[in-house]
Amino acid sequence: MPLSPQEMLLSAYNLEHTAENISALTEKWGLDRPLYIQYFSWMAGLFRGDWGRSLISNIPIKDELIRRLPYSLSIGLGSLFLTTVLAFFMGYLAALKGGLYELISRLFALFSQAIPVFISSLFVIYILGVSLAWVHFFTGSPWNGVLVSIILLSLASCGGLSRVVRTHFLELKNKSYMKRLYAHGMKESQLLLKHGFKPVLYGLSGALVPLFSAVLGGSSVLEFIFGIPGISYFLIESIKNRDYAVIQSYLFLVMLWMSLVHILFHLLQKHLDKRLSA
Amino acid sequence: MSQLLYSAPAKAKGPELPQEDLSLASSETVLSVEKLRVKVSGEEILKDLELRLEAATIYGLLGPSGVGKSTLLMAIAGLLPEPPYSLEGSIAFRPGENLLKLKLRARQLLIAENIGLIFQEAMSSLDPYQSVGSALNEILAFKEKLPAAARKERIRELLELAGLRAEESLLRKYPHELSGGMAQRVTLALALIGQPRIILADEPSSSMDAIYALDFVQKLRELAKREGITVLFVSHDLALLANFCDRILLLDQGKIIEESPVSQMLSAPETELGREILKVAEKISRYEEPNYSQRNH
Amino acid sequence: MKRILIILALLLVISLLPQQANFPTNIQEKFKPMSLEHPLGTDYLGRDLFKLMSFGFKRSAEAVLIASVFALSLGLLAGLYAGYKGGIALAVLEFFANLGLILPSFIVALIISAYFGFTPLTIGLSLGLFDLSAYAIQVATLTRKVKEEEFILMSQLLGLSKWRILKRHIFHHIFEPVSALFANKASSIVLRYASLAFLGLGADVTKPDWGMLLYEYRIYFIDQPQLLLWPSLGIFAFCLFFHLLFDRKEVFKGAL
Repeated sequence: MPLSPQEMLLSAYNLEHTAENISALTEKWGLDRPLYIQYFSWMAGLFRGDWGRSLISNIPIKDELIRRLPYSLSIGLGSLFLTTVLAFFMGYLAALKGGLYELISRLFALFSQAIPVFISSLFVIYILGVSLAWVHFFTGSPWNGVLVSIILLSLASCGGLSRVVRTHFLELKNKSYMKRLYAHGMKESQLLLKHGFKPVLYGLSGALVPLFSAVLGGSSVLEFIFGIPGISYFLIESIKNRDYAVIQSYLFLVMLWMSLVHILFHLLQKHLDKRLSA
Repeated sequence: MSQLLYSAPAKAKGPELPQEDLSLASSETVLSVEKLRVKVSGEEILKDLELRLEAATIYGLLGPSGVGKSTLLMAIAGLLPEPPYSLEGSIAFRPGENLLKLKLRARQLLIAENIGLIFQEAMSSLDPYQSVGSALNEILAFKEKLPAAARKERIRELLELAGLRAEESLLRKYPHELSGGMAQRVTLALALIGQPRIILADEPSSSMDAIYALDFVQKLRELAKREGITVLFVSHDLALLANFCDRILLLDQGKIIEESPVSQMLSAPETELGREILKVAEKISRYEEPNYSQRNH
Repeated sequence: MKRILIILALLLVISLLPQQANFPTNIQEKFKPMSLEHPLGTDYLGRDLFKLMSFGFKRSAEAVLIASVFALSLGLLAGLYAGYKGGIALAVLEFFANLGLILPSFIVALIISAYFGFTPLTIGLSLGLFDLSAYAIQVATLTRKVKEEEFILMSQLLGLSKWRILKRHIFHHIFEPVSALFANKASSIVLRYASLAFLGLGADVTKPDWGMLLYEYRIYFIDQPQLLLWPSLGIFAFCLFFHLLFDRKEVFKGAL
C-alpha cells in the first residue's frame, strides 16, 4: 500500500517515521492483533453503538458521521426528487409533442452522460460566485453549495431518466384503453397525464434504485468542489489519510442504507405487482 | 333458409330471436362515407370506399382477414394518426359536413358526440389502475356533465342497459377482478355514455367463449333496437352475425362489394366472395366425416 | 463489423501514441498560445499541452479497455450461463448482480485506489467489476427470453444441438442491447475515471490524467480558460465517441 495511516499521522505532526514511532501507533490502534480479532471487535463495537474513533483525528466516528449526514442526504434525496420531477415532465412532453421537446430530452440525455458534473460546477462557481457574486460558496453557508449541487446533479441525471419516461408514455399511447378514451373526446395531453401518472412512476421505481445508491456516494465530487462538510467529503479526506477506521464505518453505513432501500423497494414492488399481474 | 340460424334458443332465458326486423327502421342516414381512401406508408388499404348506414339498424361487417375492416372502423372513429396514415374523401354524420375537412380537435369532438367504441380485447380497453366506477364517472363527467347525484342514477341505468347488475361491489372492482364477459359489458356501458347514435364494435366477441358471445350480441341487439342506435359490428364469423344483424356488409380489396339483408346473404349472396363465405360457414356448421378413402396413394 | 474495425483502429492509434512519461517544464514558456511547436499551447508550468492530452487520452483509453474487456467477457459468460441454465444459477447471479448495483461503484473504486494505487489497471478493474453485474444481468434476461421463445422451435429440430442453435439465435438478440449498454458503460468509465483523477487521489504528478489536469488548472479558470477547455473537450469527445458508435439508434432516433 502506498502509505499507511501511521505514516500519515506522523507526517501530520511532523514526527519522524521511525520504526519505534510506527510500532507504537500500531499497538495503540490495535492493528497488530490478528485480523479476525480486529474484525470481530469492530463488529461488536458497531452493534454496541461505538463506531470507534478516527485514527488521525481521534474524534468519535459515529458523531462525526451523524453531524455530516444531513448535508449529504439533502443533496442525495433532494436531487433524487428533482431529477424525477424534471425527467417526468421532460419525458411526458417528449412523448406527447415530440419535435422540440424530443430534441431537448435527447440532448440532455446525451450531454449529461458526456460532461462530467465537476466541469459544470466550475462554471457555475465562476458565474454565480465570482462574476455575479450572488453566492459566496466558500465563505457563506454550506447550504448554498447544497442547493446548487442539487440543481446541478438533477440537471445531469434527468436526461437519461427522461428517455425511460418517454418510452413508457409512448407505450401507453398505444394501449387500447387510451385510444378508447381519446375516442370519447378528451384531450390527449390530459389523458396521458391522468392515466399515465401511476404506471410511469411505477415503471420508474426500478430505474430509481441505482439513483438511491448514489444518494450517499454520488455527491462526493460536488462536496469536494463546494467544500460542503458532508460524509462523502469526510470519506475522501479519510481515504487520503488512510484512515481505515473511518473507511470501514463509512462502508458499513452504506451497506445499511442500501439494505434499507432494497427492502423498501421490495415491499413497494410487491404492493404494485398484485395490481398489474392478475 | 340456411342452417346457420339457430332453430331453437340455446337457453331458456333470452328473448325470442327477432329475425323479422330486417328492414331499415327509418331512412335517416346516420353515417355517410364517400370515396374514402386510406393509405399507410404508401400502401392503399381502402380505395374509394362507399358506405351508408341508416338509423337503428344493425350492420355486420364481414371480409377476409387483414382486408381493412378494423381500419375502416378506426378511420370513422378518428383513431388513425395522420403521419403514417393519410385519409382522403368524405365521412359525415349529417349531410353537408365532412369530418376529414375539420381540424383535429373539432373532428375529435364531433366523433365523440356521435360514436361509441367497443374493442376486441375487453381487458385492454380498461385502464388497469382504474376501478369500474371511476372509469364510468370519468366519462360521464366529461360527456354528459351531470351533477353528482344524477350521476349515480345514470351509472345504474347504463350498467343495466349493458346487462350488468348495478351493485356497489361492481363499481369498486378493478379490471383484473372481472371476468371476460363482464369486462366486455363494462365497455359496452362506457360506449353508451353520451347517447351515441352509432356504436362501432371491432370484433368484440372474438375473444369470448361462443356461449357468451351469443349472449352479448343478443343483448347488444336488444339494446340497440330499444334505444334506436345503429351498430356496425366487425366480425369474421358469418354464423354469429347472422344471428343478430339486420344487414351484412362485405369488404374486399378496399371497397364494400356487397350490402344485403341477412336473409339474402344466407340464401343468395350477390357476389362470388359472398357465396364462398357462405359455403365455408355452412360447411363448418354442418360437420361431416371427411372422406379418408381418397388419401391413400 | 464496422464498429469492431473502428475499435481496432482506436487500439492501434493508442498503442502508437508516445508513451512519454516525462513532460519537460519550462516556466519561460508558460501559457503560450497554439503554435506549430505546441499544437495546443502550454500550461502554467510550460508543459506542452498536446503531449499531456495524448498521455491522458492513452490512460483513459486503457482504463476503458481494461474495464470493458473484464466486464464484458466475464459478464457475457456469466449471463449466458445463468440465463441458459436458469434456476439456481440465475438466482445466484441475480443476487450478486443486485449487490453490484447497490454498492456505490465510485466510492469503492476510490477506496481501492487508495490501497492499490491509481493506475488505469486498478481503476479499470474496480469499475469493471461493477459494470460486470450490469452486463451479466442484461445478458441473462435476454438469454432466458430467447430460450423460452425458441425452445419450442428447437425441440422440433431434431438432431441439432440445442447449444448451437441457442448460440446462433442469441447473438442476434443480444447484440443491440448489449451494444447500447456498452456505449453507456464505456462513456461512464471515461467520466468516472476523470472524476476520480480529479479528486486527486492519484497524486502522481508525473502521470497526468485528464481529470487531474482539470484539478490542477481549475484555479486558472478565469485567466487562462483554454487550459480547461482541452481536457473537458477530450472527455466530452471520447464519451460522445462511444455513444455515436454503439448507441446510434438513441442518438439519431428522430433523424432516421
